[in-house]
Amino acid sequence: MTDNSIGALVQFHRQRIASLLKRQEQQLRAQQSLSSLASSVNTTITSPLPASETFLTIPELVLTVLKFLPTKNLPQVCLVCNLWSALAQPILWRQDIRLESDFQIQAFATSVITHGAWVQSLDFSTRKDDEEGISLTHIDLTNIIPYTPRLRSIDVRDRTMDEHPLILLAPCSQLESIAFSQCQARILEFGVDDNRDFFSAWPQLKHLRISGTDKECISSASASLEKALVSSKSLHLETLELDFFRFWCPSTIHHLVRTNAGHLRHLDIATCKFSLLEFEKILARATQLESLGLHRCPYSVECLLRIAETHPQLKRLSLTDWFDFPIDVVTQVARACPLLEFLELEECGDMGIAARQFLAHCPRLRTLSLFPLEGPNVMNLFLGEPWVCQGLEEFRVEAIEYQPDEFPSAEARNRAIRAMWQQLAAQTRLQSLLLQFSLPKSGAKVLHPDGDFRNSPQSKKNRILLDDGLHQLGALKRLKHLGVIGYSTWDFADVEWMARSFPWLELFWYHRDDMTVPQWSWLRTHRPEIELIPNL
Amino acid sequence: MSAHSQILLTSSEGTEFIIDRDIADKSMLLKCMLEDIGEIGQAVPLPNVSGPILTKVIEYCTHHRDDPNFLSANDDVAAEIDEWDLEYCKVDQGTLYELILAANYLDIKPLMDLTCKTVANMIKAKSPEEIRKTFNITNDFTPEEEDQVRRENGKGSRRLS
Repeated sequence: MTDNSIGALVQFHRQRIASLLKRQEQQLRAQQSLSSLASSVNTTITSPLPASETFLTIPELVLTVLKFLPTKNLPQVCLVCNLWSALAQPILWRQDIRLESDFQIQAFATSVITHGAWVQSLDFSTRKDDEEGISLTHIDLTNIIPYTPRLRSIDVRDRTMDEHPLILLAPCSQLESIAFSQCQARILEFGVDDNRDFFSAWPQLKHLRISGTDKECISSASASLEKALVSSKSLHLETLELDFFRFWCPSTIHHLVRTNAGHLRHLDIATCKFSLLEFEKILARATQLESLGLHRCPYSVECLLRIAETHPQLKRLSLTDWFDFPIDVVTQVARACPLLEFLELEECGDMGIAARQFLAHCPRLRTLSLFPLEGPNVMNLFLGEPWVCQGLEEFRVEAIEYQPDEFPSAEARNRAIRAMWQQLAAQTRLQSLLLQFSLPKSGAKVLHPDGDFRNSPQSKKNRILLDDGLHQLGALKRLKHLGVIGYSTWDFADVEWMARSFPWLELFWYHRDDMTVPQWSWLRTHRPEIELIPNL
Repeated sequence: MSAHSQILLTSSEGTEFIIDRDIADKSMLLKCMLEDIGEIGQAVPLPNVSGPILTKVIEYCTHHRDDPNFLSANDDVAAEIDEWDLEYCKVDQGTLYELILAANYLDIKPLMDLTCKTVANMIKAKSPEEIRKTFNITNDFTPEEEDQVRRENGKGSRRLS
């Protein structure tokens, strides 16, 4: 069933009610008695079918139900019956489609011929953030893109193709978002007049994400791309992400920010030699900027502070490898960004204290992601006053590391742990909580009050009965994703508590050492909708 | 018209219900009707809605009577259901379907969203066969059709976020 016919049905429904109302009005004007009105209504709309049967034959209602289903449930829904399939397939095909394996791509290439008109977003990227080496796989787009006239977004990062992505995608003039890798020795050939504008092919292009590599052999290809970007006069970007262009000239970023300043909302630069100092002044002109990411580049904390002060509207900040980040500067940056909603810090000074500053000065913070949390002040993030920010929806800390002798006594350690659960339990809007404790080196003790349970199984206790305060998390009724990894074992009472406490839980991360088969299968049986994901 | 005026409704069995005007206004059908034709001083017949279901609907509208976000609250598809609403939906399937039909007929979008969300939660994590069983749906695919739909839309055909 197409959109049009569903729309027509909805329209029919509305008209039915409207005509009823109209008729009632006319009858009233004719001074007819209300009893005759009732009988006319009766004959028009009563349906004798039992409710359960009627309900499933009204596409409008089925569609309303499907609207509330997560995408991952749509494949099964397509297989229920013809009506449900006809309603669910367009929704499924309009989602961002991620194709990873060759098998998936092949199957897709077959069905895109019939379903391609629905497709809006394709993601072929194979990128994994934590992987050192990039493995390139070849894809053939020529048997796909001719069938997707409404394609708005494509991501082909870390894929090689028969031609340069910019040449191959040129026919898709409706594209608004392109992400690709300059990861092969394909050179963009400029014409004899030397000013070919490769980006004029996409008048609606708003989002551009490009990643490179550090291989010397393709530096000439990379330079041709740099030239194409700098010489283009048709770019109006809201999003610009550049990753791994170590050989690019710093004036390139200056030029790109200057020419797109009026539109730029999201800027993310990783592993380049562009220093903030190079484009700080020009960035002040990007008055719409609300999202900034700076990773593994030359940095200057004073410069970041000046940028924060000229952009008080910043909503997202993501920083990697700002090793030397004095705490007084962090505090000033946090004060300068009162509207911040998303904060991601990786290897930035004393992470616990830094995060604490943002929690104190950014009441709108929704997402906080830290990696790693370590050092002598590891628990300072949680101890002391309650956080000012009370609206966190996502909290991720990967790699919580500590040394056992950091705590003067077992009592101090237990106090710190209770403070941690208490702070987290107060964040009642949390939907996603991930705490990954690093497994201690041999001989060290784990954070859990029960001591080194891994090495002495007889000391395993029912975790909930322990007074460690974890059960306070039961207050987080909105949790959809939960992972407390490497902290303790999940006993029967714990999984039972979990199944009971979190009605909306969809994802549970765990470490294989933390949960045994009986607990796992109990959870699987009693809450089948929860996806159980072994250690990340 | 006075905010404190009362409206008389008649359920399908002929049972009469007296409700405050602001409660009736939660239903777009009643609101439009009352605005278009004025308060007529006689019962408004609701031949599609049975007494027990109408009671349930009135209970919902009364609970959310002073909710300032009544019409905008559920625009967020991922928004969770609050505890009162969760308890409210703990009814047998037949009642739930009747509520959906009543919410649809009376045009009460938040109640429609709530009940449909509840049905959606019943679908989650179920296999196609389990879904058919739960909702008493006949599998009208030919084996070839079913195979094709599975190939093109099945779980392995793409990675879903």
